[in-house]
Amino acid sequence: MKSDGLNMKRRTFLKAALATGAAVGAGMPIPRFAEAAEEIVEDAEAVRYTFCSVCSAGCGMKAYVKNSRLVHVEGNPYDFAAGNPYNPEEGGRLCVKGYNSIRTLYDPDRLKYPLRRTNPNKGINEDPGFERISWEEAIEEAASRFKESIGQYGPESMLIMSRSHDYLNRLRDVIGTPNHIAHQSTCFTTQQAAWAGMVTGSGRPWTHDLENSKYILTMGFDGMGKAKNPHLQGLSKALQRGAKLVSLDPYRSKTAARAHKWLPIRPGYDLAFALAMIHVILTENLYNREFVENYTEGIEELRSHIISNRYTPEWAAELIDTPGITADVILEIAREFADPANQPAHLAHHKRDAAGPNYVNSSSLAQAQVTLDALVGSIDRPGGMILPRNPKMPKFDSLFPIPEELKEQMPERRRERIDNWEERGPFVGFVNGNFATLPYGILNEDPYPVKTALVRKYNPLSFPDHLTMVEAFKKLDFILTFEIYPSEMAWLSDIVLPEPHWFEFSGMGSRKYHSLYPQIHLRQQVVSPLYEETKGFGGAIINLAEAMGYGEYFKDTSEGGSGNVSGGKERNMQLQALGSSWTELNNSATGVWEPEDPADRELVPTEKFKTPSGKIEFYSTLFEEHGYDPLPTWKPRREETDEEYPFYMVISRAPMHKMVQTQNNVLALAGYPENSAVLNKATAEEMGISEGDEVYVESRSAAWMDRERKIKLKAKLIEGIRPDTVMIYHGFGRYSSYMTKAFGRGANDGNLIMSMNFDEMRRLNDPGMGTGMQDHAVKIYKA
Amino acid sequence: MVIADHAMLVDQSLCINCDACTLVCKQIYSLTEDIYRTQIDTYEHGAYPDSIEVFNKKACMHCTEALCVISCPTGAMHKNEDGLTVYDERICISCNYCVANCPYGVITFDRTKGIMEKCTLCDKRVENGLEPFCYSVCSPQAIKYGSRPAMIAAGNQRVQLLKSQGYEEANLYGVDEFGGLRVLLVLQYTPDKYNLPAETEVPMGKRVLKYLISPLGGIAAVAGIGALIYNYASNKKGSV
Repeated sequence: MKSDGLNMKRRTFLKAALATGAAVGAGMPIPRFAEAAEEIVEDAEAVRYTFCSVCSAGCGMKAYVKNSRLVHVEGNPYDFAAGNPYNPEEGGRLCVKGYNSIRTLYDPDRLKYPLRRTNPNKGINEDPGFERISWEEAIEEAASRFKESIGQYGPESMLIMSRSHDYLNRLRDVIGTPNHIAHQSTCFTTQQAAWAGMVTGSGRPWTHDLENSKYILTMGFDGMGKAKNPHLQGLSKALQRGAKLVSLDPYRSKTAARAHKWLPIRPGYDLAFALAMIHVILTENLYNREFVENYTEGIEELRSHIISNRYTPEWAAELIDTPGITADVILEIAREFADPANQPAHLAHHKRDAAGPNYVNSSSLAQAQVTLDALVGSIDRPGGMILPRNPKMPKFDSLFPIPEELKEQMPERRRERIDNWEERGPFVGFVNGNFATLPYGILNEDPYPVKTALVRKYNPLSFPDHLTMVEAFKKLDFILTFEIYPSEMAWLSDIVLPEPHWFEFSGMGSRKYHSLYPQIHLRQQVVSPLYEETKGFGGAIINLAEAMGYGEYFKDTSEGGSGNVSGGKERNMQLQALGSSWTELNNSATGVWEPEDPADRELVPTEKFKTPSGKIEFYSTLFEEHGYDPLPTWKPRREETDEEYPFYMVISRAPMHKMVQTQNNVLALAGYPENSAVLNKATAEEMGISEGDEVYVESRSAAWMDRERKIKLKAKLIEGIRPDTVMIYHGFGRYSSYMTKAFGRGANDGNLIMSMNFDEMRRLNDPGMGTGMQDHAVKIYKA
Repeated sequence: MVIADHAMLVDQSLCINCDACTLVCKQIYSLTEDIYRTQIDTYEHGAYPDSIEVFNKKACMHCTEALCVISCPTGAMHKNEDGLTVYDERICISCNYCVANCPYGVITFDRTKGIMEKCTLCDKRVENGLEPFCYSVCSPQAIKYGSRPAMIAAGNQRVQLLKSQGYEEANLYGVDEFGGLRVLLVLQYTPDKYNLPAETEVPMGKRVLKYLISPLGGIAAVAGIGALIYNYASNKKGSV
């Protein structure tokens, strides 16, 4: 990081230097940008609204532009995630990742034009030898490679790896492949399943009303350190209002450091703690009678299940077997959680926490957590988890329907998927597949061969069993990747297409995270695209569809010529349905659309839930119907520690990093440059390991794929972690040498995670079957 | 609105060490690699499982009786009209006395630029009625900014709440230290746990030294010219 500055225009610098120099005497240098920096915000030539896209929270941003450069960003006080529209005077805040995002925009390592691989060999140590090609060439070649493989092996031979995207989803449907896979199985499928089965029938809520909670319990949820800005702000506001925070975490996360009580739970045993809390609340009749009687079903089934299984605090304490987590402590936390003086209480959970798909018992824990929130009556009530209040806008497919005659030509989609996800009953529809079983499916051609892939902004480093996933990618004949960076996915690809940074285009988003009433936020183009040959994803998909002969399916969506996404047209149609327009939103003084009537901005608690009974179902009839445990039930870890593999491994990330997206960001790297093996000081000393020593962390070999799974890291010794646990921050171990700043720093925890074969996934029979990202034991030794 | 007698309140009980303040400050003031005007330190006390972890966002406290000002032979480190400790690099001789004497360890000599780096409390922004950047960007809103009496009141309120929650050592730091600080801290534990200095008054010896140095203004001026030449040379090689 040689020049860690704003890259202030030389002119500005000279002006400042000259002005000051005149006062001091010629030749006296004043090489300070401070004078210019002080003016940055007030002297900006433009303040534009956008929203952050580092993570899915999408916090509203005010972007300050000077000399056509983005110089500073702040939170939009009118946006629910970044500010508080009920009281915008509080000001808006972003998280550190949002502030740092300026440096990703101006990162010289960004992709600037389409690239084609020249090295026929693929692998971690194989430089792709990229050559520059034109967009036309790239699209032509990709289209013909996809068509060829579809013709020979069927539509299912094409794998799509991306978050849901209207244009891509249409291309997928037109091609007819069932293999669209996204990352949810590493993230929150377990919580989706529990909420669907017990409350919503469809998925999980994303809004926490933390600031109005009086008692907040977390299980592996680091809302302050690694989760979203609204969680961080909500937890901080709750603390300032005097709320009590209790954090269960094997490692002292930022949340645990700020909590009134940190309980270093044994990894994968949060479920025992939660079940025992339910036991206490039911046997001592501490639950919210009014809520339970009016809004829930199945309390008696729950009671007899919990009592007959003897999920007592003594039972849980014996399983957890951790100093400081005695039966009395569990009893005390349960009583506090249900204490009327502490209401509303909130069991805050998000993604990749103990109830995220980190353990094979995470779905059961997610059920237990919904159960606890329902017992204290905080579901869709102030101070609790709030169900979605999204603006009711017409969707892409209803705005641009596929004409009937074209629909008839679409192939029927094969049911079997390459990751076996089709066997997950009612939850197939709203989550896209499982990363855990994908490499098994591809490598074994089970149930058929996959030959090509279209990938957008995913990185193999984020997959469980990363090295096995690389083998799976190597088996494919052709990979097309869309990215803004020459990432590890690009490194393994045949053609790479460059997308613009989100500061470079306009649009809008509807607030899914943290909104107590519907909001739509505005994305203005903050700066002109830095690289002429970057192209928006939607437009590129239309080009690809046209080259594959599917142009007719996208005719209505285009505007002003082929491949031009009619974003403006679509947005305008959606906003008109809400009584607004794109022009109105674009000229908005606050950067957000929200209901005009103040009455529509009040939180009206849900009375009827979208389950078969219309109530929150402690006993999930949907789960029962599909052969899953209808009640939260104790299940052991996938893998327990033993003499040979005596450590648990937990994964977290540094506040300034977002998974694998930020390692090339110079500011994020200044904050946290390299990951390490974080160990308990006393344990390490017993093993002869000192601070900074290189150690190997090694996991077992998977049953179906024998390979060495070990990584080398420097040891970091702290007091704030269990003696039997190692913590590793995710996102490091980058091997694409085109990522010049991230390259070679630290190591990838994903190499240690085991993937699964279909038999294991079937045997686990989990409704929210995730990847079990930290459900394995490791050994640690000096390198 | 320009706030007279303004001050900052840093609530270390809410800080999460996310580095939003340190990195925004670094970026906006174009600080040299590895140089910061504000940084957050982490301290653990006690052994697992009975250990605590605290964060200390450290930056210039703008002491009323500032040891850096007292020890500066040229007046480069001085108090502005607003009472903030500010720095004039034109007459700095890079003697590093300020660095050595700062009780909080928050002045850094930037060899590349040949200047001292320290927090200015964004004095130019404050003059324009704006707030310091770290206040505007603090994600958990652990930093408050306003009039000093208001900050003291807010700090005391937080301390009372923390005490009622069992943090018996909770205290407000900075009301009287070094004649009163412009940056006040809410602490959950005693100041030593944050590596804050035990001695919070200007030692008599230093006060005497100042009186001795003052008549030597002429020498300081000569030194100042040397500083200008030195700075010029350093700046040439260290432009950003």
